[in-house]
Amino acid sequence: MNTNPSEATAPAYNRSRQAREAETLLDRIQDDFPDNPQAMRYFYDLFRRVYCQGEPVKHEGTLVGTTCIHAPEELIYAFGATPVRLCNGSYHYDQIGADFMPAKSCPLVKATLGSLHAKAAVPDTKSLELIVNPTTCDQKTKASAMIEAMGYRVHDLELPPAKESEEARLYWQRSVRRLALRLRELTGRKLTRNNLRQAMARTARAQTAFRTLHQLRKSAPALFLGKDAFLVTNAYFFDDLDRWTAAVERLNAELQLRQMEGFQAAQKRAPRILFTGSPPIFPNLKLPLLIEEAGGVVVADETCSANRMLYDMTAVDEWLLNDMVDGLADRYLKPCTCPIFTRNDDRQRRLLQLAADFHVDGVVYQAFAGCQVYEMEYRSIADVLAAQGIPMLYVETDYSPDDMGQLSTRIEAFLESIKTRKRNAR
Amino acid sequence: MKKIRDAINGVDLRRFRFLLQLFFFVLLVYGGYFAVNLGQSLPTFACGFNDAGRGGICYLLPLQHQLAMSWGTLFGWAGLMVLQGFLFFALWFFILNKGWCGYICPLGTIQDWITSLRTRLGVRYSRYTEGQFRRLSLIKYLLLALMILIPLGIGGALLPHDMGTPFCDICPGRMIIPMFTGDFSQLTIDFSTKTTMVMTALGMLVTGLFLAGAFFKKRFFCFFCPMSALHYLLSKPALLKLKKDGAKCTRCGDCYRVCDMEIREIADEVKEPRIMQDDCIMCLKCVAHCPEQGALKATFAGIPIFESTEQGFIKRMTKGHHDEHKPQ
Amino acid sequence: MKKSTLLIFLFSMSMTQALRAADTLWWSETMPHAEHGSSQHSHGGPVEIRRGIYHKNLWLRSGDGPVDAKYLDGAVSGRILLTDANGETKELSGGNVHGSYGVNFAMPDEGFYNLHLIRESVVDGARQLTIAKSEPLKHSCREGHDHVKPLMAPKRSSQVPMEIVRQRTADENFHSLLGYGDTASFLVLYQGEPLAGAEVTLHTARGWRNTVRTDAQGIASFMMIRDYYPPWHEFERRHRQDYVVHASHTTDDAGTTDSGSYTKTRYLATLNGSYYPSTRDYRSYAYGLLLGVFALTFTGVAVYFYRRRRQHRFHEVRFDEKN
Repeated sequence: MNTNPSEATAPAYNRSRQAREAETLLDRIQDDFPDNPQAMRYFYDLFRRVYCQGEPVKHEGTLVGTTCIHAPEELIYAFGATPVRLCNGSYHYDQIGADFMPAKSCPLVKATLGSLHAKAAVPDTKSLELIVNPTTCDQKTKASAMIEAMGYRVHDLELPPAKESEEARLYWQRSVRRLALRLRELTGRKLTRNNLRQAMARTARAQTAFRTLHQLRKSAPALFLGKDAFLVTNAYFFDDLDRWTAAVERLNAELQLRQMEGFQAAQKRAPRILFTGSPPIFPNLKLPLLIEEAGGVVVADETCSANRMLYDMTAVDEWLLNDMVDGLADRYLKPCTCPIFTRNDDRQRRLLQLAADFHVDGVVYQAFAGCQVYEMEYRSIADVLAAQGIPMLYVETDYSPDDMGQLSTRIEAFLESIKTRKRNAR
Repeated sequence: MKKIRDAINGVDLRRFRFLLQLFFFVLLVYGGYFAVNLGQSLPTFACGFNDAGRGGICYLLPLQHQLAMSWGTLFGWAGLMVLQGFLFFALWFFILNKGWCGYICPLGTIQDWITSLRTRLGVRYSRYTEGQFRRLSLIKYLLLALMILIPLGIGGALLPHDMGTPFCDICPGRMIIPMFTGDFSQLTIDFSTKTTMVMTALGMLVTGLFLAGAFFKKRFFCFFCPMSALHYLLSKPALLKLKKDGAKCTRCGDCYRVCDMEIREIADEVKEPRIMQDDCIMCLKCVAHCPEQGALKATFAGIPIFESTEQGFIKRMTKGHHDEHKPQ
Repeated sequence: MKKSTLLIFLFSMSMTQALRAADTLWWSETMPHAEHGSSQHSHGGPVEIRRGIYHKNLWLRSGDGPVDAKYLDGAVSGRILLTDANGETKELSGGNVHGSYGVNFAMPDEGFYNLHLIRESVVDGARQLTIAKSEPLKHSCREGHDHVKPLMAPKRSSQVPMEIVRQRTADENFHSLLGYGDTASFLVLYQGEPLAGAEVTLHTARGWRNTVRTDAQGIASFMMIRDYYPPWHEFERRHRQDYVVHASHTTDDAGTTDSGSYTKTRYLATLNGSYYPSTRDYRSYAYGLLLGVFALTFTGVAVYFYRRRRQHRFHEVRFDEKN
């Protein structure tokens, strides 16, 4: 399906740059911290097998790539296909993708393009039969034609730029119905009540497991570190749904046990950080890792690689296809706090509520250089948080490791200032 | 205490509501056979035309009757009696607020049964567009105004006396509820005068419309119900309240999605804690379908009695996912 | 001006008609002269409401049936007894009510009131005892309808030698009206016991009459006929018409009274009542059901075609609900 580069020039995968990038990060995640939960071993191993050894993840039926959280995966599962999220965090692919996009563009989109362009990419892109590309931000919207030019089949899932109006909601419901039609053509299967109901049951179980994990992170002192949490939610991008859910349920059980034993994953006084903005995607867990290496702990996040992807759940009144599909559409549009929408008061309220619920001491706002929408929302978010007396660190960065030193200094200073505030407050 | 609370918040609302509605249906439609009598000021469609079985009478019947008295009488000694009836009506209403609609109203229950029949047949529901909704929503106030003005006009000898209970004439409850006790006499056209002929013919047309409408549209008639309008005018001091904590709301729209009355404010309003709108029937489905802890709650005299919880939501949805044979 | 002359004329007309001893007397709810303004219609016939209390007017009439019976102007001898809804009996005196002889009494309590006129006379050695009975009802819906059942049963008077008691139907309540085609049953009591074989006659408003004999239980039944045929636009479903029932019984007892001695006694009991058009006369199931079914089908079909043919803006994609 891919046109170039040719098979012969590619080195053995486990010695490739992206494998080494992944390996270095996994080593840091695993070895720099003591007392990692036993149940995390599943995720460490999974990432090592997939990202370091290049082992393919087995999937059922047609493989459908998605480039954003707006693609309703229940629908894909219901047609017997398997979704895989293509949003990529690799600096290596970012560099490949740079050929397609202007210099100052979002590294996530560039990396995604790079991974689709590259042969033998991780996760596997060879067997993709369709890519569902929601028309979210400009860069993803424009990426659509480029992906098509690489030889993939792309379905543009039209997303309205505003979500408040009833028209937008109906427009989106129509888009989702169209997607269902496209998936029917692709798979040659029929959407049935029972198929969709079963698919929804599977994702609901996964969401329930995520919510349990999410709630466990409320406990103070911290029970679970953000770097592991991001790894868990990153695994959701490509892992088998049921296997992932079972692993998270095991992890939850272990954490509950640890909670009863009074386990502390970080120091009692460790500043509790809420992470927001551009999504940390493996292997770009640079920022959360720096925070936790510097003695902070990421207790919650508001990003589309974790919370925004898994937190919201679908409600259905009548278990008929017409209600279920519309219900799914609502779930993928209405609660979404993505900055591409006209207004961001939902995002502001969500951040404030997370800050209150998780006893947050400070917020770290990551904006990928070139991700204009996050850059543009910075001010309004900063104002709202300042009004509540919550300190915020705004970090503009990309996938390159060059700014690590500078970032770590800034983060240390931020955490130190939080500690001082806390001391003074007492 | 926490256990009881969790049990209540995790309740299977659909089942609970079905049973409670059934209970009140039997009480109000067949209660007469068991010597139940709740008076004639009930703030719900306990149809008074159901002579044999009624366990109480819908207030709109005596209200229209009383207002049709001659003005001399109405604004004289009888005015006190009208006020007294209204007071009883208000007292009944204050206890349950619009819970009368969602849990007690026999006509509402019948509509829910028809809806249940539709889902079993696998027929999808209809929804109004937003513009239609805003316009249709006003009809109930118009009906309420007519329901008061026409009898007053009769009392003042401005209108023919055979229009005495204009709303009852066109209310589908008059035809349908007595049928449950084997009384089919309301299914007739009254040819005695032109007015009665027109009104009874309208009544039968509305009845047909009601049966078909309720099949396609959840709670079809409640949009037009003048009782609902009257309720809303009195709803502020009521004891049972629907409250929303906007800070906890993610605006996911799950509540709006399940709302039989298509009330958008339930999902979109995040500033005003008193969220009940004029169309609300207080079925509390929104509370049951809210996944955010404490974002929506029903309180009675300030005490929370039913609250949205993550656990409750997941429990109810899981049940839906695994109920193989029932679409509802 | 015109009104009063007519009044005087009517008065002088009735003055000339003296009451004969053998005349049949009965109570009527119908106003003798329409000029006196109409009374309010309530459940149980016309009433006057004075300061919230219902007052009943009843006029004594002489003659067999409503068609030819006269109103009376002079006083009529005899005792008038009123038994109220609570069963208390008191004596009333009659007088001029809106121009004719009648009674007027308050009905403060809900239920049936029984009014009896007992008149005794001896003519040609025969004693005649006329017992005219009326059974007006007081009911106001404002009093509610819970207390109705125990108040339904008819009362029997111990102070009258003979009376006609209208039997209640099983599902009768204060709102029940006797309609065309309905059967009215009357129990004839003589000295408090059912009287078998007595001759009972019913006169309707338009002069139709029927005579039957009471059965072994003392009961006589009549089916009310329809005798109201106005043009459609003048039809009134609450058109009240009077009926009168007579029952007589003769015994061979002898005795002496102030007016002379007698060798036999004739008892004549009357009871008045009202009947109305039956709902069957003006209500139609056929049209009702036709309209209802039409609306139902029309809406159903309209929605069906709307859904099938019109591509609703955002619902072009359909799902088949059959698995």
